[in-house]
Amino acid sequence: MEKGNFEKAWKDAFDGAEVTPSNSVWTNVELELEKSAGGKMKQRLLFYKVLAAASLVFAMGIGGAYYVSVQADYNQTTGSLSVNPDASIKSEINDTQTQIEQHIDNNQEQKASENDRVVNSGNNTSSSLNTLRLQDRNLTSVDKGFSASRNQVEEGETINTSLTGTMPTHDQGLIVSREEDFYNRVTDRFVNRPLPPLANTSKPKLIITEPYTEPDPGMVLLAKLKDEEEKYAAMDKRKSTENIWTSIGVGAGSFNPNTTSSVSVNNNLSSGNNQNPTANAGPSAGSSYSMGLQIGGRIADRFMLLGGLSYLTQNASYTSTVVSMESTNRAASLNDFSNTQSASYASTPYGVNSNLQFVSLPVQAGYLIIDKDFSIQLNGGVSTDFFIVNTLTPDVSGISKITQSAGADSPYRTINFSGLAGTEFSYRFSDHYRIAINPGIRYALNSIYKSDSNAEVAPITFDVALRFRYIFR
Amino acid sequence: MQNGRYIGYMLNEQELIEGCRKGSRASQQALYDRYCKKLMVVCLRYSKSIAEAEDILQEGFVKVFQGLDGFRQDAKLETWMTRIMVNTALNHHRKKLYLFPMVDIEKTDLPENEMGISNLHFTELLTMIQSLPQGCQVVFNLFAIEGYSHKEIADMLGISEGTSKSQYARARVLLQEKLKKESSHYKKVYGERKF
Repeated sequence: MEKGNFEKAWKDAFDGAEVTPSNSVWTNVELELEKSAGGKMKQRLLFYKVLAAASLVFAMGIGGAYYVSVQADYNQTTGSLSVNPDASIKSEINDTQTQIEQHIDNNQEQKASENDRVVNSGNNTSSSLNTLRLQDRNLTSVDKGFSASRNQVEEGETINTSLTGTMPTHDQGLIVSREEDFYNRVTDRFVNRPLPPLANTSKPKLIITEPYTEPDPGMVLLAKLKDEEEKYAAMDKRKSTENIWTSIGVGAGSFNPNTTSSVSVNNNLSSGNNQNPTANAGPSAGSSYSMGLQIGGRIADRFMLLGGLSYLTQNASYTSTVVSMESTNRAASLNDFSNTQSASYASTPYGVNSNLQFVSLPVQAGYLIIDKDFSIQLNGGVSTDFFIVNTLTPDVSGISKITQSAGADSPYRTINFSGLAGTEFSYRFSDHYRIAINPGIRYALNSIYKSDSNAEVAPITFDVALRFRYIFR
Repeated sequence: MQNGRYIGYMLNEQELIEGCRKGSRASQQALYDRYCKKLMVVCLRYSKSIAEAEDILQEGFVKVFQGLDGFRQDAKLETWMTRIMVNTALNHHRKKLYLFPMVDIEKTDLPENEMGISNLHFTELLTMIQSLPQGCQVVFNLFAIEGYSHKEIADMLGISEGTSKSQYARARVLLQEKLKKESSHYKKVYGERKF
């Protein structure tokens, strides 16, 4: 079936046709999209519902506690201000009752006498009767007032003069007798009544008891979540902010001189004397101490660059069988290899303590294996060690110690290089501070003796340093 | 979040599509605002009431936003969205559609008269279409306005081509009767004038 004018006319009729749908369509589309996006909207609504319910419970709890507290205060206050009906009003009513009964008796007596008078004197009767009727009405009103006030007292009503601002009903019952009596009674009551304890206090204080509040579970949960978020945010902040730091530290360890050949003194000794070709026995292992300042920076996510300045002192002991004799004072001293002018003599073996001191400029690269508050870091690098002095101290008397400083005459190289490797275990205990234990090895890359001294000493040091790091940012 | 009502004026269609693909609610709202009125007419043609049409429109737009990643842009966006609305309408009424008996016919002989359709407002025509029986309404829309062939309609609805033709023929007869009625009323009011 081909399409003709009829179909074309229908198609054209709807070209550009528009009908505005109701606003609810978009709202429903939006809701459907939210639902399909993992029910996030549903979760949000549920969260807000729970939050609203929790808030309501919290508000009701606060309100309830406050109400209970205020009610307790109110009862306490009204208790002190209220008048005990048994004590004052009842006695007053009893008095009134007695007065009324007397009044009734008097009236009855008066009526009897009036009747006698009516019998006796006829024309005065009508006015007297009117007076009596009026008095009867007054008495009836008094009776009504009295019974009303008695009923109230029997029901145990507490009359609060200060809070209600209205007069007690039993007073209204008494008004009917005479208006001025009412005012007199009221004045009398307020003047003669003992004041409540609050009014007698020299410095009255308003005491508001703190309402008991039950912690709302929803709010507690939110607070916990907030704490967690802050904690993780702080951790992230710490990680991201530990970029530049400085540290000071001290270290101690073992020092191995690592002598590869015995120190020979042949070249340094004058000929013709008793000579010992092996003047010094191989030094035994000693100790090493260091202290220094380090500066570090993060150059990549897990890579660090470390530099600094350290002072090193290394001690080793060995045995010597040679002494040097100065020509001028003939005082015996340790054999000074460098002093070619001194004469050396063989001696009985004696112990010598050698103390080497350096200033070191280490440069290391570090890699963070664990980058948390507790961190583990591998360090490796080289240090340039500037020789300061070597002190040789004999352990026997009669032989003086000698010091050998750096310089052209010194057998020690002024500049030495060492390889460094170590591991750093550290813990960050605040935003700006971290403490670290740093076991490591220092290996001399060259002999600390000059090449013409016939000695090869490349010390190896194993030490453990304790460092305090201050983190700038 | 920006309001889609405002960014709809600022962004072109491609930017809106990109925004919708990223899940921007403002872009989705802007796209909705741009096409909802035209597509509402499509939905009205396939439904019996405004409420029903709005249900189809809502369901159709959700499909549009969910399926926008698959829109290859080899067709116009409006055409693609119209197709989604039509499919949604067909799914919406599929069960009801088969409640109506359809008689196979092979040949129809219908007069080629546009019967003064151009003189009527589209809302009047909409009313006529909505008054058709369900099957006739769907087939008429698909054939006359959407432009599908009877074979395509038969495939879409899972019916024979003959059934599609017979339903269309019936729809056309019914519409022509309505148009004739409207035309006589029109002539009474306006005479023989052409607008």
